[in-house]
Amino acid sequence: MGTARRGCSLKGETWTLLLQHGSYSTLEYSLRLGDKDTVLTLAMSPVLYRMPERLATAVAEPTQPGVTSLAPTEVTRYPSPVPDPLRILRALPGVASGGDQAVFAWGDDKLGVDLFRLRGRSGFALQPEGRTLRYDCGANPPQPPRGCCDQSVGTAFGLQGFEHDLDLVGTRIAWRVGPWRWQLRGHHLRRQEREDMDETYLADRIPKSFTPRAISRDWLETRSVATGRLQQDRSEWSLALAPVEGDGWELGGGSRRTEIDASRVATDTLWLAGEVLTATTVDQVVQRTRIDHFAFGRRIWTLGAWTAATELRAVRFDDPDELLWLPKFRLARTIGTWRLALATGLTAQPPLYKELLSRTEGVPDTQKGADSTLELEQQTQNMRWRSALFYRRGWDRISFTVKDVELRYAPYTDSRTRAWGAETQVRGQIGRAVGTVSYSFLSSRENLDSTPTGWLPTATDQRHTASAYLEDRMDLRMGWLQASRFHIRLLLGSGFPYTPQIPVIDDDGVITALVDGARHAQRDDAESASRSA
Amino acid sequence: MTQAFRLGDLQWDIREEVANLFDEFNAVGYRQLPAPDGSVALLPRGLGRRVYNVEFSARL
Repeated sequence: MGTARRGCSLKGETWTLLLQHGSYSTLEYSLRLGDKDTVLTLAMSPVLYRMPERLATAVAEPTQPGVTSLAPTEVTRYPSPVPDPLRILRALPGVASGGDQAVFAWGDDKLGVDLFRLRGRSGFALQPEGRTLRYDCGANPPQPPRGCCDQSVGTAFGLQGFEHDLDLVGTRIAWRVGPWRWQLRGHHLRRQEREDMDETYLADRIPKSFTPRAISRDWLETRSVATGRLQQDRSEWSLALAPVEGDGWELGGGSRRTEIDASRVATDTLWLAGEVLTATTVDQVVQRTRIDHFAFGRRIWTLGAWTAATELRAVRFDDPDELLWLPKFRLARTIGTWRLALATGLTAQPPLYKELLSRTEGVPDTQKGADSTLELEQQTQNMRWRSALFYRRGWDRISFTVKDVELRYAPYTDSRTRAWGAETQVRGQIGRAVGTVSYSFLSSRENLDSTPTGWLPTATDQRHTASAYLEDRMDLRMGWLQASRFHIRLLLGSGFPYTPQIPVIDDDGVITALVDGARHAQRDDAESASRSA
Repeated sequence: MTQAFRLGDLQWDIREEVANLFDEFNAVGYRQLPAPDGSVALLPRGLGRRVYNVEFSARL
């Protein structure tokens, strides 16, 4: 192998040129040098490197192709007051790993056409698939009796799975008429969700508190079965007008049609020696079509290093009929590699799926909110650092609680919310290593209209989340091996404020009732909260 | 770890991964199960334990 630095003269003979660089495949040339200058043109092929924000498959059961499951810690990772852990899970980076996307663009001076398509699949499955249950002396209360540590309690088997498919096709057509530019935007989104749960818990022997005197046989079984499905089709079209020169302003309007077809059937059964003690069945169906209309105007001003943008959107929601004015404002300034931005605005979201399942008649009002964000960002050649503070208020919110891992929504708007937090992230490259380090803090509270308990933590109130992803592109290349890398991902997150139920034991040591834990009791039943306290 | 190599006209990627290296069990919910002595045993619900993944992919 010969190495030549600038200004060196190589002998006029045959050299082997080995070329290695970053994310490209290794090249090897046999180069014969003569007496004259030689020009060598190199064409390097990029080797696939990706920042694999992809999560590990961490379930006992093989999943379908394209379905990614979550590592245990991931469920508590996403620091957001988004009121649905299932939606949070889907928002995690890499969950929709089974999807693909495609973009087609064509245009000239007068006409431009963009077509895009996006597909995503995600899913997860919960353990246990089958396990022996034992007393856990290190767990939350109640503590087991003395001498019972690690003794068998019973067995549990079954599985809970959840899958989510997303298909999106869209287009943007822009054309020029004199000094004006028209844009037609449209997309169709289809979301499909499937929930499948069948779990059985089998107690080896019967506790006294569950044994009617007339029955002497000695096994007890609880079984929970739930099947849910959702298909949501949403079509949205808008037409906008703006001047050809610059992006100073834009006016537009459009419509959105949403069709929902969802159902959920859940059954909980308790058997005592083969006889049904209790059985509850919930059968929920939602079939609804709504058409919302909207109009918007945007204006952007640029004054030196300052940029101000404002938007006013008027939305007429269908069923229930509501007209909302939603302004937004953003102010940004750039100084060298730094950028500072302040954004604030109002938001609104109609209930679209699980919020409707508990409703027997009518539809809850649209949920409203106000967001404010302060961002500071620095972008250098190899590093990007971003920090943000945010504060969110919500009103006319549909509250929810968590029972096990199932979300249960209130059938109407019944609460106010407030959340604030901060997040910071550094992403960049040092030598061959690339990576991301981030930390976020969240405080999320709700205030129920129906109870005088004041502000309580929401079910998704997660305080700390820290994560790091580091990737080293190693120099292990040999023959057929073109590239190699090592990557590690760390995650530390605090949990959700769920508190399990607590048994009420009478003087004879018999369980007479189960009451909610601290948070749930304060939230749902002030009387039981006082009892458990 | 990931290795990329070429065989013929195909570029292959092999990805090896250990997920949940520290074998954490993070409870995301609890079920109550009646225990033999009359108390209630809590069954914590998590999302799996340590797992080893190997993935092959080819680019045409």
